[in-house]
Amino acid sequence: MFSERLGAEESRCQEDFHGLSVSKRLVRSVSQKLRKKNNNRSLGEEEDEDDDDVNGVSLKCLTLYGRGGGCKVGADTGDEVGDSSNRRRSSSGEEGKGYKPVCGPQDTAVVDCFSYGVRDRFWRRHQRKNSEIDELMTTNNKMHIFLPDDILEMCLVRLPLTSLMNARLVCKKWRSLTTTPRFLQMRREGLYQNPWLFLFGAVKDGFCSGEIHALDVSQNQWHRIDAGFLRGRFLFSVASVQDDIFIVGGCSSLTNFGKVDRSSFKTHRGVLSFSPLTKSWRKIPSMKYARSIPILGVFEVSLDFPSYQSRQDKRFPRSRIGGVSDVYEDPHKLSMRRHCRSTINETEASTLPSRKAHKFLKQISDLSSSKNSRRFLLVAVGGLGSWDEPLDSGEIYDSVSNKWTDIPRLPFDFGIACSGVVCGKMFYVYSETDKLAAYDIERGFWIAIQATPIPPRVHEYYPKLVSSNGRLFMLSVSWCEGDGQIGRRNKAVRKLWELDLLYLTWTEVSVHPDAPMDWNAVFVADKNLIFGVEMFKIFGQVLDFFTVCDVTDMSNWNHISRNHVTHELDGSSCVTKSVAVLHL
Amino acid sequence: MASSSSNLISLKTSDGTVFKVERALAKTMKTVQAIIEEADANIYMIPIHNVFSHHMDMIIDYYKLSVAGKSKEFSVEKLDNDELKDFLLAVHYLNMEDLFEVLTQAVADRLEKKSVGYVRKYFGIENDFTPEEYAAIRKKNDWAFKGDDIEPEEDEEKQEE
Repeated sequence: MFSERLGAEESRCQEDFHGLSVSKRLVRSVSQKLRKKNNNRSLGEEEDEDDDDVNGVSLKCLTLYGRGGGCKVGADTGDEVGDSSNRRRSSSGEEGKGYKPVCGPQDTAVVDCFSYGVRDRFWRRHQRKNSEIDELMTTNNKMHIFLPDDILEMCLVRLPLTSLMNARLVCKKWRSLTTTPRFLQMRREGLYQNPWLFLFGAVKDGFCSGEIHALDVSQNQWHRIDAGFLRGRFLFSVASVQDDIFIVGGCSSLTNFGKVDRSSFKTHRGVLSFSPLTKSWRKIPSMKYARSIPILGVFEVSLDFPSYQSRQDKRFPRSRIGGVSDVYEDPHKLSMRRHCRSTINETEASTLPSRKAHKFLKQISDLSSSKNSRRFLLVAVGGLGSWDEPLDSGEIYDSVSNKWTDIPRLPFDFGIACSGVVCGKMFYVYSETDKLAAYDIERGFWIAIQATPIPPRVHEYYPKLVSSNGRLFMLSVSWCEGDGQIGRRNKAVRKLWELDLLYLTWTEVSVHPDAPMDWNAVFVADKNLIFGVEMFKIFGQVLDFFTVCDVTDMSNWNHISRNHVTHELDGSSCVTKSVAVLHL
Repeated sequence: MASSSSNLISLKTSDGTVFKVERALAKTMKTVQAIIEEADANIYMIPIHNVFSHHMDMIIDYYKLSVAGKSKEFSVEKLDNDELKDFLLAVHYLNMEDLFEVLTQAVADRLEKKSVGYVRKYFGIENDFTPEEYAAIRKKNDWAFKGDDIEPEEDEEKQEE
């Protein structure tokens, strides 16, 4: 029973305990003697009466046994702590003197304990050890209460990330305890994680420094990460994928390395994955097309989701994309289509290739399960190509096959994509001409969505789509009063709209408190929170505003940080900035 | 079922004190529940080892507050670090879920934002890292320091594409 108290923490006393083989009966008999208190505590300590009655054994008494090599009934007495050579020397000197009893005042107690004949040796040893023990007990004045590993884990799992990082520095055992996949899974499932905002694209003194600014939202603390691998790269897009951030595409200057140079630059196909937790990065296979500011979407799918490789050979009938379709006339048909989807899938003609895909996936999943067994798909559409031309192509990356595959182009009259987000099984994309389309990840084609009413907006501010809790939202800037009429006082305001996915109607939900100064404001969502990041230059100064809104409590936008980051940054950071949010 | 005649269950702590508690409270202690259920005959008194009267006092306080819907008001601030750990162990022994969560959170709260040295002292742990190991981990974890470069995983090399 007392083992529960001791737990598994390292301590010298503990090691001694393990070395002892003390029978329970013996210990109990000793403890009974202890309860008849004496005032002759040779250890010179204050003690509560209560402590001694713990499970019949006093921990402090055991310590003494451990250190003094005490009650080693039947054990080899040659292996006690300290030099045994002194034993004989001190015996003659000490004998006959008044011994200070170590435990219990009565001789009978001692006899009971040492009935196996080690009594004399114990006393001698005790005399020599006395001062040492005194020292030990006074420095560790109170015996530390040790928590067993499983309880310790339950405490550590609740720590926020920065404190957890500290915990990993405490000792090797804590480091291993807090880095097991099981521990991390427990942390994830127990909802002990918090959102972290990562701001990319910082430009300092004209140079793309590759600095990442991270905001620990729960602690309201900023951190800066020097990401040398991003130096010189600008106008890339970022997306959070599980615990990593994917950095996709972008440009870099050809003539002035590191400068934001729109005159002579190269557009990249490259993709990188950055892991803040391990502070490391790795290369991901490049896209098929070079893109800057592509629109990204991330789908988390199950391992047995059909592989995208097998779809490459399929042809998609053009008639399904764009043009007039049933969907325009009857939005309910869209939902009908969704209902039918499950039945259609079963009768899908492509049984053979997908069976192969399933098998293939199973093998791959075994390999990948050690590293990151959650499978995801990353879609990249649009963006600007190598000559800054707007692109309407799209491609998708499958984490299992580790390859990019083409997907059908955006609907032909769609326009230039300006924002996109994944919601449920669809990747919604909004265009500069207020068209809305959705890419069905399972069926593999685009659906044009006619949503009404189209929120009226200020022309230069392109709306931003964001998704939270399975709901689709849009932030759009519109005129508040006066509707742009000349002569009247007009106020532009940023509003949050929600799309009803069944009836395809936009409803205004809330109004953002800040005047919309940043046409390139970024909005990202994490669980039920929508974060807004605005940066703009005014009166020669660059300012930043971070706000958050809880979708379960729509009326409230709160400011979480102001002007913490940007005082060092150039105005061009407003254009190059991108934000990803992780749950860490 | 034990003591079917009354709604009170008698619990005897390690220091010999007997507490008469409501059945509902005893139900929150899974260990006690198990003892009651295992016994065929009526049990007069259930001994609870590792639990002392001062623990029981706090447990009863918590129970009263949670019944009144005020469980958030329960505070362990007055306990010092060792007392808190001690209480945590008692509650763990009794297998009381809610209170256990409250206490583990309290321990976590006390460790939050504290230095590595404080945490070691709190748990009585010795540092078993060599200075080099420590520095290496620190470097990897700590973002606050300027100039720490991000390292490529394994042998990745940065290439322009």
